[in-house]
Amino acid sequence: MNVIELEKVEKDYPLGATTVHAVRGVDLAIKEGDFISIVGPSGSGKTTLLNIIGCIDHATGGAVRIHGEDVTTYSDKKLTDLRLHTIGFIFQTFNLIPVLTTLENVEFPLLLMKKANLSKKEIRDRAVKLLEEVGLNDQMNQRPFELSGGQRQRVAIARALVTKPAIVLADEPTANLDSDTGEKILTLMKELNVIEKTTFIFSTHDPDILKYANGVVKIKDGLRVS
Amino acid sequence: MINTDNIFEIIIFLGMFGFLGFLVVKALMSRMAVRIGFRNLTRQFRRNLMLGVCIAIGMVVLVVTTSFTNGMSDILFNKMIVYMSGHLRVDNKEYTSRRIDVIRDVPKIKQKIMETVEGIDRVEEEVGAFTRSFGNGKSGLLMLVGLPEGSSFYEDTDLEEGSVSDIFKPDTFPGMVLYKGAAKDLNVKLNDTVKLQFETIYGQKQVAQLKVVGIIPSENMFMDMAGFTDSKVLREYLNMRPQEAIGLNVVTKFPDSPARVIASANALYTALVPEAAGIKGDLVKGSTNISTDIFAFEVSTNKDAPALLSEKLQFISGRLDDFTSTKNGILLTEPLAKKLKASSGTRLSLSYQPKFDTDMVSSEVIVTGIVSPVEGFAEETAFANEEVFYKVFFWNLPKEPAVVSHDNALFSALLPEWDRLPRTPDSTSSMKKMLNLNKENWKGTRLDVSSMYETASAVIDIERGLNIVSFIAVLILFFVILIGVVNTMRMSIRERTREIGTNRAIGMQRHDVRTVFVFEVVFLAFFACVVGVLLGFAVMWLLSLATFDIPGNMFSMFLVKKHLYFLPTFKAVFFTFGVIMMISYFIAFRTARHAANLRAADALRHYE
Ligand SMILES: Nc1ncnc2c1ncn2[C@@H]1O[C@H](COP(=O)(O)OP(=O)(O)OP(=O)(O)O)[C@@H](O)[C@H]1O
Ligand SMILES: [Mg+2]
Repeated sequence: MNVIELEKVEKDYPLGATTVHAVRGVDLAIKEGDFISIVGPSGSGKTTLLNIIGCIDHATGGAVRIHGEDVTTYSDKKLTDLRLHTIGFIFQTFNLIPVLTTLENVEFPLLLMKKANLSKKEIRDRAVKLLEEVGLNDQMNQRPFELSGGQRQRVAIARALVTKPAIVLADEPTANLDSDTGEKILTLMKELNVIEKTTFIFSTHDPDILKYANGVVKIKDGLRVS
Repeated sequence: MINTDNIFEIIIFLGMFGFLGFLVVKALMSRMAVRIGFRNLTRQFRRNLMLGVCIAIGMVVLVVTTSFTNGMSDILFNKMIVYMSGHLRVDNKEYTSRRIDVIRDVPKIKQKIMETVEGIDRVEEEVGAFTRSFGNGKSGLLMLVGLPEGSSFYEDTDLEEGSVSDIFKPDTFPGMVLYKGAAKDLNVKLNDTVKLQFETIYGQKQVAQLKVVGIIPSENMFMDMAGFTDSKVLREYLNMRPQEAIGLNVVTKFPDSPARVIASANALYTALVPEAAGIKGDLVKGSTNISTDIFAFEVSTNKDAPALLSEKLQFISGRLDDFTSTKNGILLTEPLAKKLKASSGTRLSLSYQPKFDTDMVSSEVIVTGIVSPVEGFAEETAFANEEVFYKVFFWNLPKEPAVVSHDNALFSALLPEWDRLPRTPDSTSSMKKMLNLNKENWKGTRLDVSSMYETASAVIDIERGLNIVSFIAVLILFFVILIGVVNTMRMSIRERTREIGTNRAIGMQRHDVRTVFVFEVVFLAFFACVVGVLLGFAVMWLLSLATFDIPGNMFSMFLVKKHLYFLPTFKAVFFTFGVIMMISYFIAFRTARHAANLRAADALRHYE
């Protein structure tokens, strides 16, 4: 079954008097457990596409189905809930909350899951387990500014996975890292993809890391080219 | 007792408690957002510190000004007005042969007060004189106040020198205690004598010599003009009898509740509805002595009386005109005339037992007419010309008053035991009322019921003025705080746009985004307020250390023992605290909408 289905998705941005057609009718189907890479030149619409898949942006045309359900008519509240429970995010600039420690940053999404009624201990255990998996046993109580870029991205990965999401979206997760660290991050993501059976979609410029993907979506000028 | 003032206050306080409770519940419900909000305080630490200092200064100003105006009200209501006129006052203007301002029957009026006024602390009989006083080579004005032995004033007042009990010790000269300021003005010390010139209530010149037996430390400019002596002694000097007083001053337990004081004044006014002036006395002709009811008709001071009398009285002999034009004229009912064997022209003696004296009172009257018995009065009744009563009745109130129903057809023509001056809402109209009274041609007695809002409205206006000034200061402060909060928050929101986007992407709901920002401000305001209250108390303490010596200045009225006087109350501090918290909360709530309404995708793309 397809976790994500895009059908003729379009995204227009009004820009002054003109309109920017950032995405122009993209079809896409992604299966559970996929490890997909979106590639394309700068300005081709990768981020826009990921935002639409991640339900943080609305498509101006076409249909977006997550687990078979069309989300285009969802309210903001419902979309927020969907993101919380179903989608994890990893950002190019890590985007950790600076006033929280490593451990707290990872616990954070679980604390937002008020309806799940998780106990403090469960939350703590899950966060610790994930931080151990990404190899940050010794940095649990440090603040983001005390961590290296690679360490920060590991925290971000742990945070994205702590809610056991079906899909993890990563927009150029390695762009702010040196190539060695970038490869380590990708290896880690791949491992988790295998262990946790989580679907991963990441965008990148870097042809070196394409080898990790088991499917590549190429886009150019808002159009899918392969 | 529930009162409208109170209801308003209670509502406000319940509102504040409710609001603070709501904050606590909200904080408990979204602990994560609150925790982040709290930690965010440490970011842009300097900016938050500035805002906090701003709020704290606001709080200091508020605590200090409200405590100061509170202290002023305390001086005003509990010190000055209490000694001037009480919160509620009854006095009496009498015009029989000359103007005399005195209440003749203190026990009777006092009882009415006790029956009608709510929350009485005490009722003071005013016995006082404005004197020109001569000390050692210096003279000045002194307000001499008579207070009875056992008055709470003597108990509550600590002397610097001497002893209060010496006032009541027999000595060559009666004793008095003075404020230090007055003693300085007159250049007198303990055991010196002071010569005082003043007028008795009948307007005669009087000179008294009093010995200074105690000095009271100066407290307030207003009170520095006063001296105190035994009211018994002063009554004698003023030619006042023990049952008389210049006024009755009621001190209530609710000085700061105008509504209650005014309501009490109105109730007292209503309760003081007068009876007809009536005497159960004797009419004497030679050896014949007949007991009868004697009333008086207002033949010359009441325009409508003659017409009413000519309509209702049936003359068997004599004419109404003779009666109205004869100052010591009296009308007898036929049965009474028969018993007295009196006819028009007969001279009689009217005599009765007075209420406050053992000697009988008597006065010559002349029969100017015989009338048929009048409905509603006893068969044997005499009706005197009002002038007869002006000579005897008011000065020597009868032990046994004669009474008649208010519904009697002739009631409006009868001389009442007193008239009531209309109630007035403020000192301007009260003053106008008194001026009119001086211009008017009237006779009899006029009872006046006033509240401090009339008698002392000038002083109260000063207090109001200062309250308005501090209120404006408060508004400005609130405005500054408001701008500070909005600005700080806008900056924070801009700086944290990407973070907001991240949180929204991860799954934080809009209202949680808002809560983070709101609680950052709420915590800041809370800490700033706590610091502000503490600082406020420190500032008050420091300010009250300073000594001000500026005699003759209006401002010094509000000094106590030459120091600024602050009276902080939990109520006022709590109220200010609550208001600042509320303002901060609502401003933060409104401003945080900008953050909550950011679109996640746009926020994530945001670069500074
Ligand atoms: N908020 C916006 N308003 C107007 N135009 C926008 C907006 N966001 C993106 N665009 C435009 O949409 C197009 C696609 O942008 P997008 O960020 O998706 O590209 P990208 O492939 O992620 O590029 P890069 O590799 O540089 O990150 C670009 O031409 C961009 O200028
Ligand atoms: Mg991009």
